[in-house]
Amino acid sequence: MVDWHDHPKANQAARSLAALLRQEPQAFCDEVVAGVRTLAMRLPETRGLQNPNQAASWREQAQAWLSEKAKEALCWPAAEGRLQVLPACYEPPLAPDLVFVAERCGLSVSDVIRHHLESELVAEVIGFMPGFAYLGGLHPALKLPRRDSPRHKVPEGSIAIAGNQSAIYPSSTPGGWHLIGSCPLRLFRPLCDPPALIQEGDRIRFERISLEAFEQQWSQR
Amino acid sequence: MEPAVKPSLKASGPNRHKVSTDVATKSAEKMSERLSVTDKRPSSKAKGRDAAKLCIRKAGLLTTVQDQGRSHMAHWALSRGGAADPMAARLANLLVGNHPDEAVIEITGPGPQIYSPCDLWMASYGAEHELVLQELAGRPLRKAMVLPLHRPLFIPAGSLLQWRAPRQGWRSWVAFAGGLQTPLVLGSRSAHLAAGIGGQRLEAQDLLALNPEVEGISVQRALTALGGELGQRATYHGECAWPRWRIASTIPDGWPLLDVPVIKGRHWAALDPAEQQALMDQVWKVSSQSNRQGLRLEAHGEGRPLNTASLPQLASEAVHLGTVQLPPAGLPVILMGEHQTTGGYPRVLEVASAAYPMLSQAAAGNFIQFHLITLEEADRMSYAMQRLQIRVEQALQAKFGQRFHDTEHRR
Repeated sequence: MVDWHDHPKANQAARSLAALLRQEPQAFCDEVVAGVRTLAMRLPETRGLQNPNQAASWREQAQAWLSEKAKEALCWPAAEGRLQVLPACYEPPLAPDLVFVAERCGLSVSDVIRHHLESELVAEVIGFMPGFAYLGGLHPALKLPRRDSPRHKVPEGSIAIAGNQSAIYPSSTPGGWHLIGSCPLRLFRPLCDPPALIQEGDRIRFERISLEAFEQQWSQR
Repeated sequence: MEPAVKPSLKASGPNRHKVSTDVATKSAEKMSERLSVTDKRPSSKAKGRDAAKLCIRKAGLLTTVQDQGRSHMAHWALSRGGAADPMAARLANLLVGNHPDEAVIEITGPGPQIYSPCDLWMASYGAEHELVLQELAGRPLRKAMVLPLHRPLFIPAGSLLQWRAPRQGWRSWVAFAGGLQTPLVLGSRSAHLAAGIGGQRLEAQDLLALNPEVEGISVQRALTALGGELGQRATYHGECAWPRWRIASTIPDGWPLLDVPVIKGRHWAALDPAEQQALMDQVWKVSSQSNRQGLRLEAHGEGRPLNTASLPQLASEAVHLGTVQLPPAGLPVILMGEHQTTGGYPRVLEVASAAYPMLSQAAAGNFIQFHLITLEEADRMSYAMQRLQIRVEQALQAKFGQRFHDTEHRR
């Protein structure tokens, strides 16, 4: 595991190293997961152990590889993520926390929406549940702590914000973020390849749609 | 009458299978037992659309279809899931002559009631569930018959099977010759309940597709394994039959108190020394809030929740099967196969991989005590366990004259 701590390019380095490991698989690495500022590698399964010292030798190789690449990765140019423009509907029935967010941030509702639309978001971490992407780069005016008590059920498709991140809930689940809108697209389609709409490193922008357009797209998903 | 070869793993901790690896040593004929229930085969073969489908009559507490899960999907935030003890599911398959990756039924706690319209060659492996035959050839039995576990069984068409609550352990895996043929999603038939992918938990009236050739395969394998006379009688007259050998269950030593070997986690050092001590000394109780995603622990007896004030606030990082998280409430959570792929709680311990199978047998109300081992010890344990598993797998394959390779792709 590598931790880049508070280095400003930590997440970018984590993503580029993870991409490199997926592109050029190494014998000592079975699976790799990028965190917000960390990278974790998992050794191959015990089934592959050829001798009692195999795990130790994998670990050594992995550490040698990581200590060399971890520094380098900070200097690599940022990979240009693919830009995706996703529809977002901010109408009241789909945005239960919009007024609350506006009050807490000292903004008008339309300013909140405008700031969210202007945010240049990047899929920093894929985690939590299939299809869920932590989108970093939220407009600083919208920075808020999570809700004091999480909702038992966040509706599928909800667009949410918390801290400096935004996200879309791929399916209904408990959640502690503020819900400011909804996206009519399906984020995880197990029968498609790739199954996830948003991939690590994608750049995301939202485009406002009306309630009618939302309902129409929702019915076609 | 259990055979002799008991590989010694004792010194290094979880003694996983306690397996008697003698399976190839005695002739099936000599050891066979039979259970004669009827003298003549009723108008046997089931016909029609549902001929090769198991019918779930009662679902049990939590019954799902599982195989080896979906590996290498962590970058889509999908954990592997699959059988809670993948190695036990492999052995269940090998007991009936299947490829080890075939889908099996995973039974959790009080089990299901299942009707089969066709002949089966099946095995229930894992916990000490009580498996009883309630109907034979479509007719209720005056006295339900208890069937043996951890070995293959020939079950004639028209049988109704009931898995009662386990006397020891918590989960079993039931394999059927030819395998289950429920739909593949992302390369697996496993129900990933946390992610809502693959099948769901089974409900009463669900039909589960078996291999369309299940009857032919079952009869053929039963004849091979049971030998001439017994095999003939079972398959021709429709009798339950099984060989007398078996492999040992997967109940961990000491159950229901599980002694779980762990190594220090990434945030261990940030935990206050008094709290480290309490974490290790206390006996924890498995909460009823536990599921395939995680085992939640609660304080028990003299125990108390831990003070987590000294632990850092984290940005989301990778977590894994066996990670022990310590949320602010101070009660540890051990992540299971359907875990989330990233998490924001401090990770104070990591369970040694050799102890994963043990976790799958932990029921609500069981007890867990951690003991610290070094990374080197953990390596030794996992190597020893893997050697043992491979020996048992090879012995079972030899029994049926088969040879499956890890690289072989079945689908």
